[in-house]
Amino acid sequence: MTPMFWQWVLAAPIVLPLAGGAIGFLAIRRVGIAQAATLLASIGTLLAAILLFGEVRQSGALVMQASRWDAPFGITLVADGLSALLVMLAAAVGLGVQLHAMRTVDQEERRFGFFPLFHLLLAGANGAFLTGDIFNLYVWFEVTLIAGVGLLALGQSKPQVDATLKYVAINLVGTTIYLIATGLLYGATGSLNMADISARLLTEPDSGTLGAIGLLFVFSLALKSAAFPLFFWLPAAYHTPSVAVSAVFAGIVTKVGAYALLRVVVLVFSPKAEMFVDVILWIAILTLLVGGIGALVQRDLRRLLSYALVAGIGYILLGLGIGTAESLGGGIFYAAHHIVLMTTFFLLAGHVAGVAGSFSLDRMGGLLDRQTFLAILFFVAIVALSGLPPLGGFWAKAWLIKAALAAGSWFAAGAALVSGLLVLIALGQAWAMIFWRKGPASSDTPAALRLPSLAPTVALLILAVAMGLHPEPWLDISARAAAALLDVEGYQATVLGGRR
Amino acid sequence: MSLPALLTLFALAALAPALTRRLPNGAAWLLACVPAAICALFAVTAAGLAPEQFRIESTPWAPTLGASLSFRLDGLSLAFGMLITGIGALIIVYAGGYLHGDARLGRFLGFLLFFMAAMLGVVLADNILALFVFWELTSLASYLLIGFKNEDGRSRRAALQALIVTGGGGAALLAGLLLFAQIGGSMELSGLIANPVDPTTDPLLLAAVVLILIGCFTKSAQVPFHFWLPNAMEAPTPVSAYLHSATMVKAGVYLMARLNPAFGGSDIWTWSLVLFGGATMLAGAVLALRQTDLKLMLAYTTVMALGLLTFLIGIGGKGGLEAMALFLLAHAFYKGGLFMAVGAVDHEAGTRDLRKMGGLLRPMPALAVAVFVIALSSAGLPPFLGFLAKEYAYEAGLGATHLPIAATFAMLLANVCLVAVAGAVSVGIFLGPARPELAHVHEAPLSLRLGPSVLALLTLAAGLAPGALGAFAIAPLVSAMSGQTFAADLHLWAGFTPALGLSVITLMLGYLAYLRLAALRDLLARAIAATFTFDDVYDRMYRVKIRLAARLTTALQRGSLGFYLSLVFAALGVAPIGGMLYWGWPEIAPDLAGLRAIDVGALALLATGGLAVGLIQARLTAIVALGLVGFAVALIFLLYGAPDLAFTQFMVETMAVVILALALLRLPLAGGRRRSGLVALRDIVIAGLAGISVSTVLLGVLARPFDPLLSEYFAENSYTLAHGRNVVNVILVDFRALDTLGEISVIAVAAIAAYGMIRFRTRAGKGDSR
Repeated sequence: MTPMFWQWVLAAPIVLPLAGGAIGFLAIRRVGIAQAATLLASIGTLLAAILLFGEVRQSGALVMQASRWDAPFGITLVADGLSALLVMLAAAVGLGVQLHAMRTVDQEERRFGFFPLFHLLLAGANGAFLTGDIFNLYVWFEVTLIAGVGLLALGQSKPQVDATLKYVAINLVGTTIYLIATGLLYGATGSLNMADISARLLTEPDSGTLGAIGLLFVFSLALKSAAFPLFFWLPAAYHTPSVAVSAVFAGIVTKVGAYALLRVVVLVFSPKAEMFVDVILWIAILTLLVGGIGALVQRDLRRLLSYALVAGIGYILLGLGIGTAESLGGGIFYAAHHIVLMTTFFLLAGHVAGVAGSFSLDRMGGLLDRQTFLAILFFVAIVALSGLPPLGGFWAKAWLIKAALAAGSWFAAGAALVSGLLVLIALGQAWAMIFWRKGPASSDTPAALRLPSLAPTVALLILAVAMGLHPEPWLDISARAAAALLDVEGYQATVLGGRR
Repeated sequence: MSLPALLTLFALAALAPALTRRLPNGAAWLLACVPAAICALFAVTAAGLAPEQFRIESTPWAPTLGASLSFRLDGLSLAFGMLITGIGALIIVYAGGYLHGDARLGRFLGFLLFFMAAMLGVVLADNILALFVFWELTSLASYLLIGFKNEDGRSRRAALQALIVTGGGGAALLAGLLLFAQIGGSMELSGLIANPVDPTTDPLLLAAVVLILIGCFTKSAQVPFHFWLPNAMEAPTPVSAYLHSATMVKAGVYLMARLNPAFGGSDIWTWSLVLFGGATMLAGAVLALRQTDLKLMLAYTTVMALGLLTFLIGIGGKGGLEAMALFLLAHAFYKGGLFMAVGAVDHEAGTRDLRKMGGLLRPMPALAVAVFVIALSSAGLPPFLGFLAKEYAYEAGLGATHLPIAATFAMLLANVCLVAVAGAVSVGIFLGPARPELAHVHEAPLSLRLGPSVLALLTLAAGLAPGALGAFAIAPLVSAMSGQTFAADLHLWAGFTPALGLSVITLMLGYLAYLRLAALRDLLARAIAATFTFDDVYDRMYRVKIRLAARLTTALQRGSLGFYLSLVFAALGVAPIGGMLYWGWPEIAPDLAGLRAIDVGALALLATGGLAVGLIQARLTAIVALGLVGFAVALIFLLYGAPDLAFTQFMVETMAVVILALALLRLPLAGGRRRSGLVALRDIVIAGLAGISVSTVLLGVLARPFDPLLSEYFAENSYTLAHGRNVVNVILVDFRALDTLGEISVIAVAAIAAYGMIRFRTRAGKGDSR
């Protein structure tokens, strides 16, 4: 394969969804064309992402200088282990949601651009995962945000509009703060290329200015990843739109913020990362607790999952906050597993609500005998999410706790354990309400569950379960991704070539 | 051998429902063959190992985390393995009879086999992560089994309670094991327990021991975590017989026994086990007498037995461990048998209430014989295994290094209760006058009788052949628990020893207690009502926890956008200022002298607009004031050589004000914002703080020399390399074209999204969007 070929493979996860989305927009009235184009784009993205992942795993990070302007003058796309892993899983999840949506999203939403918006969202997320430029990252944030707003608002029910407003207002402020921080950092270092900035910061002494800029980054990205204390927009928004939308938000969009935080702290601020690690550790601990506590008292299934999702973000950030190679590996593995699992869980919630007629736990019951297969899927998902062995959540948690104990972060280890327990209790309560409890007397069961619409969910769940039962390949991938992320000099050499 | 056995059991669990659907009558018998075969395999393996020998079988699993599927076969794990699979096989048969004809039998058998596999994994695992994996799987299986009667609210509560208590203990255990592994430098138990360590020498090791013990105590229902076990009796009787007597609850005891070679000699270990075990033993014994439900009575004697096992490990030494090994087997045999028998009676008679029982010997002679044998063993009469266990326990108590008298006395009390309970389940059920309301009762079917009968035979055989028992089971068990080679020398008749005297006293007191059972029960009921139960404490803690969580969540999740944004901006104000205070305030040197009048004017305009937004009540006016701020910014752009930016800004501001005003006119928002002065002040302070913090950082940045590398490169190369004279244009479409592609997409998406919002048929929706 020529280097040119790999350049295209590297760009494909951005280009294909963009193209699919563009065709979809042009054919917005012809829903069939839009669906076909976006489906092809999904499949193509997944293939490209798998190729990309394989290549990065075999021969190290891939770099593309966009428009052939050498770094640091143009924009660089970089796929290292972490980026390639996230892009691959996002593509897998994206295809799953695409297939799910093709069976479930209603006609009205299709006509107003569900599929193109969805693909713009994916393009934005992949762009964020792949860019090596701190301003370009902002652009992808914006793409993700605006496409997300479009998706959230589709359907136009009152709570949706309200939720969209909150989502857009808070995230716009967060994105703007990120932009301010980027501008300040450019002023301070004179560069936008992540590798270049990190090289420049190497010779800088610690200072209040740099510290404040870093904190602005941490703050805006913590907001975007729904970390404490700025998590509230997520549970406020994620339970209102159609299930496919909440699923993709839960799986992919939340990881964009968390990924960016890893990238900015570990790579961009690498010489100064020590300055922020403790702050992030406490953000992570509080996020873990607030997510677990919030999950305990929810009466709406998707809101419950939203809080569990917030707790999950806490685990990912904990990997960064503990600040060792081991803990980063744990955080990355958690993120990888979480992408697949959270998407699946929201899709499952949609199926449950489909047969129960509501997302409200108070109105559910008696599904164990009526929907035994669904019950099994749900139970497996509970085990995986609450960190019970032998599924993925457990390995991630065990890894993080092990790392926390090795680093002497007692609070981190305690929070990880307590949060897992709280989520377990919340999900155990929900299970008892949805499946065990006697159902409501009404006999008019809404729409029976059809297997084809369940297929993408099952496939994603199998992937999540496989990551748990046979964890070693994924653990190894995560450990290597963490090592590559920490190898800032190697990254600089790859991106900047012989320069500097 | 271990891994295939486990995988077979897990696979069997998955197959059980389908098999049961095909063969509703024979499935249980068929399924039981597999654990029986595994049990035989373990027996052969055990016979081939010398007492102190062990064998490790290892398969890699997740080497990155140090997890492997490694198993340790020695006296301890094989003895437990035989109990689990042997009694398990009997239970499977029993469950087939107990739930005969129930549509959910297949599911039930599947859960049981799943549990069996998990439990077997716990006792065989050598790797601590593997151990923990199986440990949690037992909790999960027991959650499903306790909640099996899922439409009963009490079942669901008990299941959740068990999950919370054992799940919490599991969390502690994981931390403890990982800490222990980190200190001990091995992920394998074999490596960790090879040498004795004293936890008091290292605070971390001490923490590890405490955490591990919390895990063991919750699992094995030690005081103060004992309350979940009797509640778990909501489960169908085969579950109680298996999980809550013979196996699952012994997981904690198993782990303590397993770790005993490492910690056995240390004071903290001894005292913790003796005190908690002793308290559990007494509490269980006393509470058992208070029950009228036979199953609950047995459940509390299980609590007592678990306490005694812990207690005996704590006493330690050869004597303590030997007594523990004997009592472990004796209890597994008789308690499993008694549970099954009570279940069989319940199954036939439809009641488990002691006060309604009596005279069932005539309709159920075969079951009665088995029960009497087992009850005699549990009461500690010769020649049964229970007698041996009790004798050696008394001996160990008398020989204890700490407080021998107190230890022996506590055991005496517990044993007296056991005798009374044994009387209740044997004499109480089967003798006495026949009750007319029980006239319909028939002999239980073979599947329900098999378990009690086999266990009765075993308890008799073991008692009659103490030598063989010692060589086959006790010596390997004690060797594994002590870490030293031990040769058992067991005798049914050891002469007139103090222990024998204690046995006689026990029997006499026990007989008295049995005679006065009703009176004792009332007395205890009154005493307990006057104090409290841990179950109530759990309930209260659970409620408080939920209420606190609700309060905390609503405090943060208010549903008001204004509140959320205030929080965001407050954080924006605080974070950078905090950073600069911590890492050093930047040296700011604003060039105040160079300010022109027009600069000052623009700044004044800006400040006026900003303040006005905060103070003005009327919305429209506030929006105009906001426009003022934008114009002031545009003016600054103009003054400092960015006319294109300034024009863009003028356009945006004008449009924004116009559109906002138009939108406002269409909204029913007549009047002002009606904010109190305090709120306005708060908003102004927050906004001001945010502004000051960002401006300070900006000044800090400006105080540093700027590196013009990029702008110089762009200026130099825009014409020569990119063929464009306007540098800004070249940056937009060439140097950073990817940014522009993204921004174009943003605009396109915004247009589509807006189109959707405007044209979409508005639907009414439910739900709240806090």
